[in-house]
Amino acid sequence: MKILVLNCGSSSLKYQLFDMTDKSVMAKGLVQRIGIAGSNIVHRKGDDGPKVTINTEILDHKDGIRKVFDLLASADNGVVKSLKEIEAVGHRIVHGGDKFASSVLLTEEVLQAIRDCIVFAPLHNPPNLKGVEAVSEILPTIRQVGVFDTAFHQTMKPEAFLYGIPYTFYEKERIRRYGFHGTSHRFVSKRAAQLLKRPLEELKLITIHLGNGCSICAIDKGKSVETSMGHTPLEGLIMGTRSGDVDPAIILHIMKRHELTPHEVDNLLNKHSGVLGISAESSDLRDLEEGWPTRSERANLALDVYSHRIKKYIGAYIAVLNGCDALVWTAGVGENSPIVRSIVCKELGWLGIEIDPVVNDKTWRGAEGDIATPNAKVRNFVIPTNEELVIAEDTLEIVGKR
Amino acid sequence: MSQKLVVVFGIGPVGQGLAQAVATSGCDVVLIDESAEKLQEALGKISQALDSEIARWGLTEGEKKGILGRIRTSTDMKEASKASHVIETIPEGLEVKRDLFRKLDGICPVDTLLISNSATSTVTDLSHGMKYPGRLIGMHFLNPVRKTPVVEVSRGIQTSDASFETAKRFAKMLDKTVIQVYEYPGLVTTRVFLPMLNQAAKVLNEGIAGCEDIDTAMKLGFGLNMGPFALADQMGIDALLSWMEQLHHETNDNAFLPSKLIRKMVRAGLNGIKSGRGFYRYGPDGRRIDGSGLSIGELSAPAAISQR
Repeated sequence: MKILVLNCGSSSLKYQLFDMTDKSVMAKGLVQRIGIAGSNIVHRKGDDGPKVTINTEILDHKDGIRKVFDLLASADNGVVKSLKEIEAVGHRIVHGGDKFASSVLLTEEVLQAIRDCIVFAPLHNPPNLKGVEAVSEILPTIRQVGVFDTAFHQTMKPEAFLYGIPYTFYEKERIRRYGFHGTSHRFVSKRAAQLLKRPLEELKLITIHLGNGCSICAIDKGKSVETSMGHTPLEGLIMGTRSGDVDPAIILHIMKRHELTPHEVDNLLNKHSGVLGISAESSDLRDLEEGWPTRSERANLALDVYSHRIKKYIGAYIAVLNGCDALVWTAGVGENSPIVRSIVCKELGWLGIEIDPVVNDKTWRGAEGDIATPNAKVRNFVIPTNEELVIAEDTLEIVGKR
Repeated sequence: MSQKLVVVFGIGPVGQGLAQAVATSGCDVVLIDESAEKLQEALGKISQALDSEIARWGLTEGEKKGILGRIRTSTDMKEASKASHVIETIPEGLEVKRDLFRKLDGICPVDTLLISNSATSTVTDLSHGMKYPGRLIGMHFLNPVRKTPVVEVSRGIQTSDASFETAKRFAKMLDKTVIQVYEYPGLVTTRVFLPMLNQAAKVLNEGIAGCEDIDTAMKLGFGLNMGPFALADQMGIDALLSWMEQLHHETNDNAFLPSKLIRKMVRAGLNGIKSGRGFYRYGPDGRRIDGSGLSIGELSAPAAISQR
């Protein structure tokens, strides 16, 4: 069975076509500048075939998706003979609110529920929905599945998802912790169980997703019980340009003192903060690590603050879980930064966390492995994430059931 | 429907602001004027405006690059033939604007939306001589365009429903709330604000209260973001005077008869932020200098002219 995975943004969309018989990538690409002059499609056959750039007018999402389908079935760049070979489409949907605890078949009723969640993700859900609507207009009979960033965390209990503000905001406006990166946390937790050769249902895991956005998740018996991102993806860990946890009074103080508008303060916290804000050099950890620890005081400071926050959360989550079988590092920084992993895990021996510096240093660039010392109580895995594959697998499972 | 490309005529503050707003929304824009030099100047001002947004954390350097990359300039009005939307923000003047729209009507494909930013000329007046008047609509953006989240949309007698819908989508793209206005010179904002400014200027001129105090009273008293004088400086005193004259001519209502003080100010070149001085004085960065409110004595003596 062949499944197309779509991730639709406001003016771009990413696609990957999977052959689920062996879970291989048949083609993938990116449609850019939808509805804007100079639009194009960057397409490649297979997982790492040569890039082909097709400059073409793309009026809207529907037009873009139609052109992707045409491309997939074309003579020169195509990988299927007929679009009939593509049996289902899986969509990444950012916010499912508290309505979706797992991936679902997209019906009109479900779409309405996703529309109701627009208020939580006004920038992300509308283009996600546009993608779904476009596919159903082009191929009315194809089955489509929605996979939510928030769904995995719906197992959190009220003590973890409620904020200490008047209850009415939760009751009337559903303001609560939702958490994100659920697809990734779920994927690497399953993989960790395989590596431990134990059933997921008896494990306590802490998964650490460090990419552009960063979040950490406490997983008990395969279920998310606590995560660091909150009502929005701004809370929790320090990220490339996002602040993570901040005393909310600071925001009010800055707004008042500098007469900032909500838009300006939103940008301050989302785009000017985090590692970039502290280092004043770069939002990219790779830049700051270059020459570490002698690059510059502020670069070191940024790395230290970034890592300290992770350490603090690990401690908190070990308490929440009452134990921990393994830490799991994933996504760009998690998979590729031995430096961050070593700073975080330094002096955690009392908790049973100890990493082997040699193994740590060579486990990167797509490598999977356990970087813990042989005797450490807590295993310490590096596992490359693959959210697109999860979307394809969920889609297969759901359309296969029918 | 075609891909969006917006063409802006006019390089004043509203033209600059619109180019910036359109480019910020992710769409390409071409700024057109006869003078290549003035276009460069306008680009420089847009770049400055973006820098001041960065200083207020509203934007990043990378975003600024992207925005500037989406703004082109041209002295060739034929560029408008590729546009999906053409907006005119040239100085007020019925004949000049009519002439521009007649030309655009000939150049642009029939589905290009033509937009006038005029607050004082009506769409129906402007559409005289156009072959396809159905595609002309009024969208009055207020200065500063970036900060003012409202646009007054007015239809002429012949403006089509399709044009109105396109205009609404355009406003949404720029994140502006639409209010619908029956076409009439002055629309809502200009019509209501001018008499207020006129009265404020009279109160100042009669020595009843000082410049800053009048602004403070209106600002705090009515929960406005700015007092009338600060706002007037931002809008440009010369432009306000010409609107008053037009509206007085149109309505015969003495509420629009420009106050003597405003005439004096324009004569002396105190045109607001853009000239460094209006009701207040401004530094080169456009920031108001504290305690610089106009006092009547300054304009009563002949020294007023030589002071500049």
